[in-house]
Amino acid sequence: MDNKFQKITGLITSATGSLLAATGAHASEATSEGIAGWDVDVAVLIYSEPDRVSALEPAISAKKTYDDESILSFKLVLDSLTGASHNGATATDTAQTFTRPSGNGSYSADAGETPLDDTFKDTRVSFTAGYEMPVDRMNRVVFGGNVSNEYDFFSVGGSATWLKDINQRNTTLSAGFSFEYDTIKPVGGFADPLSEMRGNDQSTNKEDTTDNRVMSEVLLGVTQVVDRNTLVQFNYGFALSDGYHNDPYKVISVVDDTTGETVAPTTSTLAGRYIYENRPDSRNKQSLFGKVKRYLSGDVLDASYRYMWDDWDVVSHTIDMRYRWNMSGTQYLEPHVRYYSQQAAEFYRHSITETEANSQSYGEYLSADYRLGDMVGTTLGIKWGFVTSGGHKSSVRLEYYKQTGDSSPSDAIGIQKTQDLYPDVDAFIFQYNYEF
Amino acid sequence: MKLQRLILSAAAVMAFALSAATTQAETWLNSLDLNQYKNKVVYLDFWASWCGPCRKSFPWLNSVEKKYAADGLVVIGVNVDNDLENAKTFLKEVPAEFKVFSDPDGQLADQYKLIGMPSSFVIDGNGEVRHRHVGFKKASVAAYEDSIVELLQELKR
Amino acid sequence: MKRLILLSLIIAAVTGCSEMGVKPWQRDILARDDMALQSDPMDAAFDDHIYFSKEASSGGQSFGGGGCGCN
Repeated sequence: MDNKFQKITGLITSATGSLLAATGAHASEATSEGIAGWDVDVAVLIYSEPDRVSALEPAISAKKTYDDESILSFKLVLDSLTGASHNGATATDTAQTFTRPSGNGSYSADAGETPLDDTFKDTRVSFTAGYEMPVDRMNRVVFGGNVSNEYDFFSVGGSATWLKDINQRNTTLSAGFSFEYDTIKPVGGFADPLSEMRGNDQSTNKEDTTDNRVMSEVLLGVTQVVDRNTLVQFNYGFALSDGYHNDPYKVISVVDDTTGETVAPTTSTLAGRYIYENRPDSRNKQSLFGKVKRYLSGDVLDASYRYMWDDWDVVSHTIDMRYRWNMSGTQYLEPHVRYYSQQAAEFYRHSITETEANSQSYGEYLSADYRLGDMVGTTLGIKWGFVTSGGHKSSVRLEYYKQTGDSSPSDAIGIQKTQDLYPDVDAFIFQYNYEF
Repeated sequence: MKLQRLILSAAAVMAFALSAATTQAETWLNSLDLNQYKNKVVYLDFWASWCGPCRKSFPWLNSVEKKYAADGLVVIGVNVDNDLENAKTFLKEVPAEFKVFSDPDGQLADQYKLIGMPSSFVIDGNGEVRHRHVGFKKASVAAYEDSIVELLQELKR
Repeated sequence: MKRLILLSLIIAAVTGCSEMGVKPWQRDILARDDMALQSDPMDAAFDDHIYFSKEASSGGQSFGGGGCGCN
């Protein structure tokens, strides 16, 4: 185990070495003062869902405080994504074939297998800059800007937050506003919502163009020092988004009213009838968040709760707890538990019947994206923090995330009762961090 | 043999004296009585091991003590750490070449009605607090020094 | 109705806050790195991105407050 760990750190320090070389800094110059006054943090995250999606994310951030107490910060994250993701269709008792988003080629699922689209290979680059400016002794403003780009998605945004201290800095009030402008250009173009997925031998029914979405959010907060050992925080958030919200790659299976088998399509050459999803073009989310940090004889407990609700009928509860066990002044172990539960969006269905598809009785909106369904997500993690021989802070963490939903819902028809209509998603998260 | 030993011990004494003169470490006061410093300007600075800006202020406090001690300036750093060991560890990393005093229960801090950390009070030759600075910013160092020079000039009259 | 109660509880807690707290020289524990509101911002950013990609909720947490309260 020790040798394996040394090998990993060896690999990573050589990776960060090449990153640093690119930015013109040298690790050997590192002191607790950072590099030329910049505090740098490098990290790499490995996210892996066995048999599904994997991501490798190296990141670097740098921060500098100036003589007038203003702070400038930058962050660059690379996100390399590969693997397969659920396309929305349900598993059934026969093999299924789907057309790739590009329209060239196809992918399939065996009988009883949840259909996964393995076209996903993407690299995302994201850059963030922040500037904190003191207004006077008790007030400051923090500005942020971010831009991110990937093959089918481009996003640019900004934020401004006002922070005010009162009661001799025992209370901090914050008011933040942020906005984001997203451009979506899916591989193969946009299909007409609720139209059938066509076979790759047919001419495409997709429009090769781009679409947009604007998001804005207001976040209000109060942080209060309760006593020498306790800090609490409350936030209220209000977010509005307008524009294209669909996942252009996701479909819904249309099944027979009595047998539950996927029916034949009306215009497509595929064996099964799958229709593209449709979500509203606006969304209004609100959230209430509370957090406590408590010092307990050398250790720190961090517990938080978030309640979220929106106009798609999604309601969620998130409970997050961490316990930092400080084994010494330079080493800690931090177990972590997170519990997330979500109530499905009003227009979420695992599949629809042929009658519903023909009459469109489900309404205007429809999605089988499992991320909008009734589900519970549980995370268990452990983090180990230490100080290197050079005097720098470093840490590793390992987490296990499991999503579960209703695999056998009461409205399952016929053969659907033998299928897993909401398979579990398991993911492993590994992160390495190094500060100097 | 005797001469060699004499020279060696003389060298040792000189080395000791030299080291004592060049590294002037902090002086811990057992009590704080400002009446002792009548006709001197006292720069009373409240600091703590956990205070980031204090780390930045010490080099300046050291330079100001050196520069104006002959003119009548006395720098006294009042430490408000509960645990004196934390203060001593801080001083090993960030040396103080001035007098320091321990106020672990914050009695003196309360008396001076501190509104922020660090806080400094510039006291004139008659023992009156004439200036108060809350916080330490490198950008404001000239202003801090001006407040000292102003009171030192009053002493001369 | 539940939301209204939750919101009013929070407002009540907040408005009762003007007497709560510590003196400026008593912030030794609060000044600790592990007592910062966001003690691991890199972890938090990674997690935010993961959960935003896998769930229907996101964000909700702001920053600012606590700490040494210096300057």
